[in-house]
Amino acid sequence: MQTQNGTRPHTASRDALRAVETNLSSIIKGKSADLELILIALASGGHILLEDAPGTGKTTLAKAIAASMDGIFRRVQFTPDLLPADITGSSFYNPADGSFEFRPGPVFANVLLADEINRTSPRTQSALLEVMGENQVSTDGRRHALPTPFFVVATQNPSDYAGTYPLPEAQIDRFLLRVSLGYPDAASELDILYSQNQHHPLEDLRAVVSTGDILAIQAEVKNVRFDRAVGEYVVRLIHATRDDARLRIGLSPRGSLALYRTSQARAWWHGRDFVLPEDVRALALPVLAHRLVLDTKARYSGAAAGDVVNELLQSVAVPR
Amino acid sequence: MNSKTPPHSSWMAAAVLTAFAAFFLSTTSPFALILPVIYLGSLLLPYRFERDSAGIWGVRLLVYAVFAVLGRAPTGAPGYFVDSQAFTTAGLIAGGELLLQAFRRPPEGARFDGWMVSLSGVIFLIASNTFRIHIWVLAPLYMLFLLLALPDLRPRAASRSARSNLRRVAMIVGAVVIGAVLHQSLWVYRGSIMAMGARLISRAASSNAVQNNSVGDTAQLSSAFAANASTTRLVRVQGALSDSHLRAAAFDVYKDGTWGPPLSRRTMKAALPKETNEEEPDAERTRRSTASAAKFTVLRDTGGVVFLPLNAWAILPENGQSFDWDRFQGPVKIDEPTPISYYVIDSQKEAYDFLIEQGPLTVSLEQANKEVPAVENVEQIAQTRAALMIVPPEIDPRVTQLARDIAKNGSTQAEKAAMIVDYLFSTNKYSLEFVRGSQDPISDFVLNKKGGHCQYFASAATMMLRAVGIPARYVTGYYAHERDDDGTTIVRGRDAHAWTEAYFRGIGWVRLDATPPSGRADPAVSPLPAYQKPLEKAQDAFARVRNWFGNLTQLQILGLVAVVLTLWGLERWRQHRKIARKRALTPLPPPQLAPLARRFERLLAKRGITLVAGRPWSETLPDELHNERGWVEGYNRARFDRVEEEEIRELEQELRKLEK
Repeated sequence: MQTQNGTRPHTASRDALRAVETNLSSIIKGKSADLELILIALASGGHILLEDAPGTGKTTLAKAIAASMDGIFRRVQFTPDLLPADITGSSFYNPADGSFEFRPGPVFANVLLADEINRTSPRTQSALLEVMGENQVSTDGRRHALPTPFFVVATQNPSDYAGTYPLPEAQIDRFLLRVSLGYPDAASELDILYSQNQHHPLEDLRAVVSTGDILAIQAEVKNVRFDRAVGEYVVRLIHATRDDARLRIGLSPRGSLALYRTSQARAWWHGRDFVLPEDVRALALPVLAHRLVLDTKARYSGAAAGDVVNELLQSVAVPR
Repeated sequence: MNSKTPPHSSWMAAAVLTAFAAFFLSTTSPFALILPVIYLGSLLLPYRFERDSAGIWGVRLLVYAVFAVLGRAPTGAPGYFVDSQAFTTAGLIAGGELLLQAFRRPPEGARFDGWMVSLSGVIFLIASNTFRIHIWVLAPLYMLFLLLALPDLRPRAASRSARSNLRRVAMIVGAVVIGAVLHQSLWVYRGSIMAMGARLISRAASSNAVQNNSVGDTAQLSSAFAANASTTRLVRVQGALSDSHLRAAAFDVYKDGTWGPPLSRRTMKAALPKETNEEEPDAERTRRSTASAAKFTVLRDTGGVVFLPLNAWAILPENGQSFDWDRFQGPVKIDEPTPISYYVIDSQKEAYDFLIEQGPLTVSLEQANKEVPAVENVEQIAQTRAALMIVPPEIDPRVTQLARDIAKNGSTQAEKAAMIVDYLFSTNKYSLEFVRGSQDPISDFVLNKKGGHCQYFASAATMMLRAVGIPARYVTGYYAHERDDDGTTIVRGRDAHAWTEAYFRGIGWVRLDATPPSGRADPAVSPLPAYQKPLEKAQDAFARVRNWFGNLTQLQILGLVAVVLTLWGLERWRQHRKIARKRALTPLPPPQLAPLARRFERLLAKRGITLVAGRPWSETLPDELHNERGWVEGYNRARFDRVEEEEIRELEQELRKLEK
């Protein structure tokens, strides 16, 4: 893989993000590849879905991300009785002047931690559609813009666990990346045991990046050069998912856009100001796999969306 | 060993397993089962040999040593050098090579060459199952495929130095030494190795235990009748049999509980043309004679002994082979590898145009044979007659006395014989076990009215007939009773039997079986295992294919080979085109970079790195090639970013450096 062999001088904003990486890696041990994906999502301004078995550090990671940024942090524990208005906010009657006043819900934040998102009903899950897609809340005919940057970190257990509502396709499509931390290796786990002896290292975290830095990073990422040959590769890859017989639903243009933006962010993070096909390939699995819906037949024959993506990566020709 | 499993395709595995299965069906050795087991292991185990590993040579030598030991001829020469075993050996070597190929690590990034393995599987199958002349066509073909595989065996760039060459030579020499030592130690301990293998296999298929089916050199009276267990097919008879007793050898001389003389010490003479109709038979006569004859097919090696009923009138080989026999005592032998087929013409059917009294093995003890000059020797007839009357001194005189008492009321030889047989029938009980005393076993059996098996009934009857003046001999053979619906009779190892033949004046040779009916095979038969019949059907079907192949001419085989090669070439061409089409889809670099990309790919190919179409270079390049990786970074900048003309020139210079 490409390394940052000083292709371009380091910028101040990348140093800021590197500080976030240092913060995160002090909490989540031995998962540098997954942390890189988190940083890429931050740099490209997308939402993250952390999916894994209970106890692997999803919520801790989300809290660490919030703590590293100096913006507004809100946390919503998604429970089965949560209602849409509980998270978006609602209008109250003000007896003093006889008008309705909008009281913003927890979504009005820079970092929103949506913990256990698949434990709430699809009704409440759907309330996040507009929020995540358009960064705004519309109630009573009025539009309320969310602060920028707006960043949702959702966690969920894999949907075949008891007491969960699988996220609707429209909702899951709005997550830029899906990251599975998985279990740590033995050395990292030992590290975790000792580091939490006195107190949780999360308490030591300081904010190392401002909301302004994040916006600057996102602007910088958009300037990374995306050669037409690589763009065509992205499109060929996306089109291949639409032609694949095993997939009931292929990828939307939102999917190609996500792959485009994250590839830019990865190139930037690796110190390049141009995108390589390798960037696209490295991100295809976390960006695309959760958006694919398998055909029933394919599902019963044991195929997984990840396998389909890997197979397409083997079969679609790469520009060289 | 390295842990990269090549992607085996299922059709390829099926082809190879079919080849092994056919090999197993056609060989007499259950050791052939080892090969498919190891092959299946290659599908499951992740371990692979490195391409240029000296370990491959070690395994190769071990395989050859094992085959050489298992296939050694009685003279002690390794199996490879025995002409009659050449085809089996070639099959085993090809099979060993096949296993090695399955365990070899494929070239970096390359798909496993399924054609190589499955074609060598087919060749292996053919080579191990056809008549030996075809080896000389197939062996070069096999070598051709090995040569085609050689480019993969090329050592990698990194290890090309004088020291590593020296090390490789040293490893090969070491492997040869180890192989030679292994070979010698296997040869020394072959007995226990074979016994261990036989035990292992007999546990898996207990009723088909490996045993020597050869007709014994001498007939020793044993305390237990062991041959009863084996269900292995020995002979298949198509057509009617007038007598279920198929004789293999007759014995005249009794000494120390053993009947002789040994088969190996008899003077065998080639059959006379008249006896076997060896001169070119006209088609009509052959058709007429074989239509009324029973066709015998010997399926397992029985030491070349041919089975015949006593009254067989004439015997005809199927493919003009020649018979050898001792005309006074038998047996008839044929020197061909099994399966052998021959026709036996029964005296009870239509007259055949040459008549040798009763049959090939029934020389008259009264007059010289007019038809066959070699047995005109009256003196030899008298000698034989005298030998068949001897009751050796070790037999208790009371046995002789008893026989005379039993037969004293008989007026003819036939009546006397019937009385003796009746006596044994009614007095002694059949038992598979015989508890031996200190006495001579025959006297012990008769005088103490003990239980015994067919060998004792037959020996006692022979001795008692001699005691009353009837020439008699002891005969071993098989009792054919298992008739199938389609008119064939199957003879298995467990059908082994012994009986008596007596010569009645004016009548000729008569078969007498003194064993009570309860002791003959049929009532005692235990049912065959369920898999036996289907397995035998498969063996027969395969034997037909093999026969068909064996009858092909060299030219026809070359034609088949040409067809296979053409198909193989077509498949290679198709794959080539598929790759080319995929390449055409790959977006080409801009014109100023395309030549550089081509040169770089050629450079990688020279280093032994196989590029996969449609994947970035960075995924195929090994990490240790720092310079190449660096060049790829530069190239990528030129390709996917905007760069000046000058940088492209620099890139070319860098590439030139790499090429050196």
